[in-house]
Amino acid sequence: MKKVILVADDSPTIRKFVTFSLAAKGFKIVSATDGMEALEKLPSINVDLIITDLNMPNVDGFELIKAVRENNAYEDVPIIILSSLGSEKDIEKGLSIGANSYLVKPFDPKKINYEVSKYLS
Amino acid sequence: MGKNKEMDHLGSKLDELKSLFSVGEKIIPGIQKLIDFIQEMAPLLVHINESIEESNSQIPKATDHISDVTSATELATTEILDLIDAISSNSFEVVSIVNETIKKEDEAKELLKELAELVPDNEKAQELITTIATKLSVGEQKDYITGILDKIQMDSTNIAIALQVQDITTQQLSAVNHLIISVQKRLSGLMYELDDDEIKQVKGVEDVIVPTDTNFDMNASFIKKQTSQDEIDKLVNGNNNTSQDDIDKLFG
Repeated sequence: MKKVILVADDSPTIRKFVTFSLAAKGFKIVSATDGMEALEKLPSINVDLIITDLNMPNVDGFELIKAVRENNAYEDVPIIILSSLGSEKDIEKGLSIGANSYLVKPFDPKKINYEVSKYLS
Repeated sequence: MGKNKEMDHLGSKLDELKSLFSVGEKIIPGIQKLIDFIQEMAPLLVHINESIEESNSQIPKATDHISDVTSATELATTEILDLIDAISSNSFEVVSIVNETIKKEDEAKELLKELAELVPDNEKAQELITTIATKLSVGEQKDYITGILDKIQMDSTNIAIALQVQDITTQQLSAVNHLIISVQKRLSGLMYELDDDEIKQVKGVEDVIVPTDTNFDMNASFIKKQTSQDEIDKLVNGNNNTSQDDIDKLFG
């Protein structure tokens, strides 16, 4: 059974690129255009890992991570932040609210594969 | 005595009035110049108002153009990524076909060996079998073919990485759009109607809404930030960060 990765990013380019990088490795990718859509999709998928941007309309990445961590059903689901924000403050904030990894854009597909394999090997 | 005091007081007040008139005489030309200046400025202010109004009316078009550019580049980038995905899948398929061909070629070589053993005395048959065997050369080309396919894969990945510039550009354009709308609001606030007896602000400032959702990174930039990622990994993992070499070893 394929592991399911939820990708939340408002950029179609990044959603496509993440799919391009991970689908070839046998993962099933479910896309969401923002945090709100991601939260709406979560109950209907058996998610194994979440990759999220931070700057998104409606519900941003920080709010999404907080909402996911507040739900007992997803407390152990690994979360990888994928953002162009790379300041120490953003990283510390992301990690303190429950993200497991932090990748900065532009990113190498090898790196994202590596981070995903750490949690879904 | 009382009347004298009153007269002195009146005289002093008249002196003050005289001084005031004399100051007035000196000031009046200045005031006149000021009035002349304001009269000359009025058409200029009207002109400035018109210019601001015109610039203001162009701003929505400019922001729409920027949004159109963003949508067009987004669409083009997605299409290119689809093509890269197809190239990548095709090259994987070619690798599989090459491997299958080499397997069949090895089987054919074994069959030729068996055939050669069946006709040991037939020189012409032996010659033909050797010629056929030399034609089965895909196996010898395997390294060369897979080298080319690896290069195609690597180039495809590098193109895909480079296409992330589109996302960064979108964020920069969103930041520019945000700034333009903020300027529009300020410009609207500078427009005044010059009536005969009052100057009042032109209505419409409240119609310009500066978006408050900050779904862009104003400082987004497209540089390959391996050092930044290494620094982030140090923050995330302490000193147990993984080097690029470690990742390359796993996925190279």
